[in-house]
Amino acid sequence: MVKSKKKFNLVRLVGVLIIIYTIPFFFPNAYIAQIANLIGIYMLMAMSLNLLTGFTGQLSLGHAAFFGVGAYTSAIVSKSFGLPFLICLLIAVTVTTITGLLLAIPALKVRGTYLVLVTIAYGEIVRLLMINWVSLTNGPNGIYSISPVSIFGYKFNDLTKSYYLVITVAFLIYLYIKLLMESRAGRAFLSIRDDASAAELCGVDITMYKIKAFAISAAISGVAGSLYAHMYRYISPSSFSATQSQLFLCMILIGGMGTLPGPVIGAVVLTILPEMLRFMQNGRMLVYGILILLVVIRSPGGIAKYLSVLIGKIKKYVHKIRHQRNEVSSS
Amino acid sequence: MVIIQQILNGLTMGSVYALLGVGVTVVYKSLGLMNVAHGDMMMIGAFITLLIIDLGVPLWLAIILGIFCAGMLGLAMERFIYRKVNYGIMLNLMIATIGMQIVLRNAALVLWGVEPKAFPDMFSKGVIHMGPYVVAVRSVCIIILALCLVLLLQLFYKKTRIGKEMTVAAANSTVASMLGINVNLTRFITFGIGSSFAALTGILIAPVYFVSQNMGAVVGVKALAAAVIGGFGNITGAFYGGIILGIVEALGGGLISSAYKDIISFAVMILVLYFKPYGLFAKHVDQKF
Amino acid sequence: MKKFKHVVSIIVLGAMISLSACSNNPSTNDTVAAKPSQASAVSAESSKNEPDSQEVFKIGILTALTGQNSNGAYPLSGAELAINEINEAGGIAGKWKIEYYAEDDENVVANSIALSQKLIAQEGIHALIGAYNSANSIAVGELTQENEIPQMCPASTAASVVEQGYEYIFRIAAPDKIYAESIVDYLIEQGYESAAIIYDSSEFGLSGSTFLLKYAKEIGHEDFFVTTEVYTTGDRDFSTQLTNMKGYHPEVIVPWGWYEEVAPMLQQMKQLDIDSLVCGYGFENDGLSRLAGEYAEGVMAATSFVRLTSDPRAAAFVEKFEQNYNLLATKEAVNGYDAVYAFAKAVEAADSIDGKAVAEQLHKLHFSGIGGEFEFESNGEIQKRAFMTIVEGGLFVLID
Repeated sequence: MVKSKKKFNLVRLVGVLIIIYTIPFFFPNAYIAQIANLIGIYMLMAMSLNLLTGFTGQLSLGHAAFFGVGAYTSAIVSKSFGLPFLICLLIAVTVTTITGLLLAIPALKVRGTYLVLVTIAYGEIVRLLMINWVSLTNGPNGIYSISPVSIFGYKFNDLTKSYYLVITVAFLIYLYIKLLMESRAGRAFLSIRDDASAAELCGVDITMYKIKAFAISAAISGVAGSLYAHMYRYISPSSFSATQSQLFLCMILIGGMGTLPGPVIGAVVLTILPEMLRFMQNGRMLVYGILILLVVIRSPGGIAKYLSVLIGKIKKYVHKIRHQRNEVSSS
Repeated sequence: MVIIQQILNGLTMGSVYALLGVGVTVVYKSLGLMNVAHGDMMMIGAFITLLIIDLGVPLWLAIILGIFCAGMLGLAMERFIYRKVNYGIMLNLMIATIGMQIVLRNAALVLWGVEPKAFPDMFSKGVIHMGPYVVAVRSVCIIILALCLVLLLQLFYKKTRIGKEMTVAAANSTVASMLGINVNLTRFITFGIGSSFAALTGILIAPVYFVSQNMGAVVGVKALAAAVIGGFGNITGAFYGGIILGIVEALGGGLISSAYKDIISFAVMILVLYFKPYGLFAKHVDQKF
Repeated sequence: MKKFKHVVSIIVLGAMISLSACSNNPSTNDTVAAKPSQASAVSAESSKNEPDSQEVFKIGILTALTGQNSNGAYPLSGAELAINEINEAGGIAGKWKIEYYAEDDENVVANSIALSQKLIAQEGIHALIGAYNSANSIAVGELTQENEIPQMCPASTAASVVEQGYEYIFRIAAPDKIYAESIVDYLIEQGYESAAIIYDSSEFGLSGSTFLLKYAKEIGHEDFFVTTEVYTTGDRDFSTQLTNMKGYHPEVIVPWGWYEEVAPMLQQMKQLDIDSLVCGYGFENDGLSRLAGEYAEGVMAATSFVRLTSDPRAAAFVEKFEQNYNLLATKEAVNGYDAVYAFAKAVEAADSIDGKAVAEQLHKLHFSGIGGEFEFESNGEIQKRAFMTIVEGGLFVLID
């Protein structure tokens, strides 16, 4: 029984891999390919935010700051020193993780509403630094002509090629988070979210785990930021504003906060939706806002929860039919 | 010399932060909810008033009506949206305010567009000279108004029956219900008051800063900062917090660099939170969320 | 849990399919004009004039309509006017009908990149007018370079726009340098001895401030600018910066930014008892008087096009433009209009709509537009004259 279940899961896994790797053949043009790339990158950001907010309960409205730090670090290092992509990525991740730890310091002391304020302030500070520290970041003009991703000489200068890279990274991070949440650390994160004082009483070192959560979340954002910089090849402070942070929060909310597939679903839905709704111009974000309110009021588990409930109902129904058929055939 | 002038400038901006901060605190006291959308409530209040003025209504009447409508809107928001969210899970409530912020800001965008709009002035444009220093008449009026409102609010909470009921409901809703206090009603009223305060602030600053859909964005966050610095749940604390923030900002901009003015305010807020998590003036208020 | 992955990939697949399905609609002619009547004239004309062999010259218009400091409706309307005129006359040289696709990037660079990608890859444009602001135009420049699509900027004035080495970018808006020089020349000529700059922290403001300082130094008046202050787009309170400047007692204050910020600045200047002359660039828009009212009177600005003009051709344009659209004719509107005609002339000269050929012709073009006579330099830069104007009765009027 257990063996067949494992086999079944393997089949599913292969199925998923086949789907995500053959999608590029459906890309009619470079524009669609770019959107696909963006979805992959936003998946990473959503997963990163979900780890911190959905699983560890540290509500963050400043995640665009990590995204930006990762992107800028990678771009600056790449342009100033001409280092290969992997080194830039490593440096970007390191710097972003350090900024994550910097945020963790005040965040350890405050909870809830205060924490949100700290993250908002943090996000604003980073963005203002991007605009005003002209000697480092080239100011509001942004950084252009960032070289495309190049690993051991193989250039990912085509949007379809970079899609493969991005989606592979997203897939690997997804697995990593899944394993992380199934481990002891994951349970610690959840305990912090659900009842921090109780967890502390049970001997969970919440300080260390909070720090870990911030660090890992920041690191993943650093990866996303670096990929973004080398995919778009142009970055400017306007892409890392408070609105962007809110968008990431929307993604995990609507997709399903605190679930594994939630951020993935959210990223897909909230990246495609603006493209489809372009004709609405101003009304777009209004639709997002209303969506959030609806989700929070009606279905706090997001789309993921809704789907799982739906699937549960379908399964029950199928089971019932099968049962009835068995009864008929046996009688 | 420049420093003293900067301090005077800071007082003006500070009283704006103070007014908004007080509004946010009022809501926090009763719901335990930090309304991220408070700045945008201010924006909507200003727009509604402008709409009424455009209909030909005389200025003073329009202002009163505008504040009233904004209050009504706040009541509606509490009744139909926030109440539906499970109050037990504070995270959801906070996210609901974020959603509301997005809705308010973009609804204003759809209805009124991007361009800022002028607003008729309710104060004289005059200027008072105190030696080499200058203070605008309107600034003085705003500061005095803010003080009066805060005092009125304190009186309301301490002396009137409803006010006392609201204080109890804020401290412990279960006990309050047992005492026969209609907790829903107090929350309902609180939101109305908070929204009216926000609208009033918007109307006060509209003549100088004009009305636009993002006018509440940065000021809103600073108002929250003011409330935090002063100690959440403490109305007079929020007032002082706002003034202090305004002055620190002006001094920072004057002495260090105007480019980094906003950074200074946010940095100060983080520092205060780090060293005194309950604010500078806190009587220890139980943090609900 | 694994079943969710299934669900996830189904959603992704469905999304991809739906996205590719919705990529197949051609002319999305978005217009923002108050009177859309002209837009329907385009499609009506095309069906009347068109034998099946007529080719179509597709112009993409990338502009900022919503978002902060987005006054992109002006070049868009100007361009639309020109396109309709050309189509009504039978198309370019009677051979090519013009179709246009307008997109709003909301003044966000990431959107500019995505939307120009869409215009190029999905709509298959042959030329691009845009973007609106400098940073956005530079970002898009890389894409137009890669895809060999001539790009004309109707409003981006920062020097860096033409300094990237792109061969397909042309700037039809007068660059910052010209305005900065006119302002400094005028002020010094009028006998002023000290000035302070207050500029927007964006690329636009930074560029202007840099040129002002550089030029003053070049002509031997290094001490002319006594101090500079900066603000962020979206700020409304400038009391800190103004108080700092007041300490230096400048005779002139030179703002370099958009009217949304300069308008409250004017009011605050009065409240701080600053009576310096105000003369700058970036805010010549009727919005300034609308917002600042009496405080805008006497404010000076540099511009490359004066609405109240005696030139008959320009006056005719102003009248037609303002009749059709609910906007006053500004230099950006003129640039949008001229851009279309410049493209048309280049296409005619090249006898082809191929991007490379058109760009080549643009480099050799000698063109007479509403905005003046001009040629493009090898890097796409343009030479234009600037004029000083002053606000009188709510409108910008030429100073003799």
